[in-house]
Amino acid sequence: MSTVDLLLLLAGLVLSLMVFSYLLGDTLLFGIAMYTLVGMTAGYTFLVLLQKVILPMAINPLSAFPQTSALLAFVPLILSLLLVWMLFKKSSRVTGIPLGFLGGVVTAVLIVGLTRGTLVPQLFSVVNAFDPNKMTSSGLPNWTGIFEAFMMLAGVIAVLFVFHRRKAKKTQDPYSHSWLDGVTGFGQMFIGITFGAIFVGLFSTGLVALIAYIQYLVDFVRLW
Amino acid sequence: MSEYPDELRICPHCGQENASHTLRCIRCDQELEELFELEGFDPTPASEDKTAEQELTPMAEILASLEENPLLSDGNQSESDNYENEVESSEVQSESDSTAPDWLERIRQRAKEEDAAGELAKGAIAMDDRRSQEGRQQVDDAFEEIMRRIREQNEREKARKVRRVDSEMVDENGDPEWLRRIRELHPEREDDTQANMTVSAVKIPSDDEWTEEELQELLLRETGLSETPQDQPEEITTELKTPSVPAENNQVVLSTTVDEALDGEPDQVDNEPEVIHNIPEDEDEIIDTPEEENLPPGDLENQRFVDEPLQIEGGLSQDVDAEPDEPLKEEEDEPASEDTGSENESKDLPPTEEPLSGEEILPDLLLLKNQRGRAQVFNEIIGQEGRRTINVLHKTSRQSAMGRLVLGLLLILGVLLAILLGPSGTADLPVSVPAAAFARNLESISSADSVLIVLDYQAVSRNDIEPMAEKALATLEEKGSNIRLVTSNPENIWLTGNLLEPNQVPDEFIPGGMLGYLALTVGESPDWGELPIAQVFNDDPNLFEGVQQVILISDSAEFVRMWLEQIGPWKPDIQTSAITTSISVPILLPYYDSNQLEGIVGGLADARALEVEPQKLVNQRAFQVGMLLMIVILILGMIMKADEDAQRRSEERRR
Repeated sequence: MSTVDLLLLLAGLVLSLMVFSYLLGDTLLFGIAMYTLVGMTAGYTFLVLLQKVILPMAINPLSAFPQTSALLAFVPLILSLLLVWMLFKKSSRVTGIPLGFLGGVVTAVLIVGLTRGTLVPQLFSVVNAFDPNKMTSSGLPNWTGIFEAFMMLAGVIAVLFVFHRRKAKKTQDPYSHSWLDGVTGFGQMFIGITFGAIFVGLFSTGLVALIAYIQYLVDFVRLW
Repeated sequence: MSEYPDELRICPHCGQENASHTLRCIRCDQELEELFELEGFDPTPASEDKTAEQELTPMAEILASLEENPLLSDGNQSESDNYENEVESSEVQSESDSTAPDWLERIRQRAKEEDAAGELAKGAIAMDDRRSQEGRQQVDDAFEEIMRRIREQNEREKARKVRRVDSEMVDENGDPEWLRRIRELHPEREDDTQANMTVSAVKIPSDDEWTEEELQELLLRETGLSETPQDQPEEITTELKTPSVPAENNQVVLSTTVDEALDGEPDQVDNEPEVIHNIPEDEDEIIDTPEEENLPPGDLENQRFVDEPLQIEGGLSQDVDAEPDEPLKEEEDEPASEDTGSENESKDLPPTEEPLSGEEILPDLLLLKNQRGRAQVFNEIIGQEGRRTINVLHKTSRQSAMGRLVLGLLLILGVLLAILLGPSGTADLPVSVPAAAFARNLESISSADSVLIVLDYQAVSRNDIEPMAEKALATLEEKGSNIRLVTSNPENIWLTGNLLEPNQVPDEFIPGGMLGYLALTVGESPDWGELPIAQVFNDDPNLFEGVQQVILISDSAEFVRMWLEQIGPWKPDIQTSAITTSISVPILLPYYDSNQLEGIVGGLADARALEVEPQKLVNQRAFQVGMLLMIVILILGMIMKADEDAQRRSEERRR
């Protein structure tokens, strides 16, 4: 192992211990480690953007000025300058132009994408679960498919009821029915299962990271 | 607040003890003195303040002189109406700017020229002769009582003044916080009110010092002498006050001002000549009404002040008998009434409208219903200052911090022991359906296919992702597929070096994140050149040209979902699969069910589907120990929570 690798291992060991100090609270060591991470990430990102984006996409096209590509390069350049100007004068209306353009484009893209990519396909998925071809197998009822289709439909309706009743509870709706409460409880069960699965995944991911870095520390100690 | 709400009043005419609220003596039917005092009355006009201040005499000396003056033994001989009228005229004259100095000068001149045995004494002795010994004794007692009140009031006022200065709610002028706010909000109305009070000669003194002029006037009253002013004032104000409630009138004046200021109604006082009194036009009706006589004193006063609106009239009602020592009482009582009034408005307002007994109704609480409500609103608004309006959402307690520390140390200790003790082991977990589908899809890729691999993960999750990503890339390389790596995350430029041997960097960095991918998906090269984003490509800028498969390597379910939402609909022929973390798998399962994803592998549990070598994974035994510890902790937590809830419910039932 070279000296550079050894120093890097040592730096990694120290930084790992500093991060582990968060167990004792938001200590100074943890803050130093976090600021180091943020600073290095920001510096690295700036260099990457300068090399991969700013120079090739905003500066270099200006060299071919009379051409159309050069003229078009002025558009992102001016918008970028307006965004930078916003750092000095936030209340200026001019600085709102790039933000408004960006916000409008992102909003439109999100709405269209959410509709086309999630809402419609998921709705079709629920409907297609009741496809007779899926509910039968070799001329006999596919009870598994039938149960899955109805559970999927019941889960969708019940979860929708949960959010609807949640709003009604906030407004203290006096009209309460027991069957609505039952459906709401059924939907809460689905939501609980989903959150439980997400929590297991979260813990599993975190545990893998923890094991990896403890293994790293152990390997470093085993060098001697 | 009155200091003697339940005190009996001794009739100066017959010596009969009367209730404090009665207007006439129950024996001789004579009008009681001090009844028609109006607090806030200051006989000294504002223009004479300067002159009066120059003639100030120390309080103790004046009081001593009053007690020692033999003329005082003849005081309170106001038995005749003429005398009262004269005294009243002298009082009114004292309010005039022009006559008061002359009047004072004449008083001083006569005092110099005549000794105690002079004309003044002779007149007093002559009047003494007309009085019986019993009546004189009563008058002396009454005067002694007055002097005692004066001393006590002064002491209280001094103590109260110290408290006021210390209090943040009351300024140096004795004005409470709410009153200052009202003045700030309604400066014009405040000016109007001040003007009204000035015109009506109602003054709220801020100190308890007496002017020499006032003391001379007191001396004249007590000796029974009067001096007819030479110049009658152009406007004479008569202020009436009920006994034992010296603060009510002031309270009503202030409350009415607040009410009007809030209502925004035009101030009727501005256009009308003012006389403040709280006595109905026909006072005999009230005084002689049997029903009101049966009421307790507090109720009677309350009834009067609530039923009778504040009336401000001009001119002098000469037929109304005014007590000569009104200004003294006003100066004694007004500061106290102002303080107590503000305190009651802020603290002692009754929350309900239940009928109160006479003892419960204090004079300063004699507010109209709407005035009381507004005062309460003011109190609430002022009371909210400095309070936290939004509760702290999450406050880490010492117990939770200790729990977090213990839990973390326990987890670390378990993992450490599992690493140090025994072999790494192998996790024999069942292969999930999406992971199996991913493996089948990977196997289906032929050597002629072009595969676009999109990287978007952080360094922290590399141990969860990279083993499977390495395996997938190795499989594709073995097949000889055309692989193209792109990323929009700068971090992946150097992270990708771990995936392939030799170290390989992504082919292109796509700026703009998902918007950049979208631009490359839907954008077309124009005839006049190329899009600016094409500048970032070293070779073909058409990212999806000939691509049959897309493999997303991401630790973010959001990125995968955005790809399926934004890129998927534009490229329906491209099959998409994902290598992700354990946390993202449950979120992406619906997209697998809707056939938008061909397969998903996530986390250590799905590594078996790709037949990843165990040595490339993290320590399996440590993983099992960690999961086991967390399961135990979760079960214990659920049990403790259930037990805590059961105890809480039992306590609630017990209550």
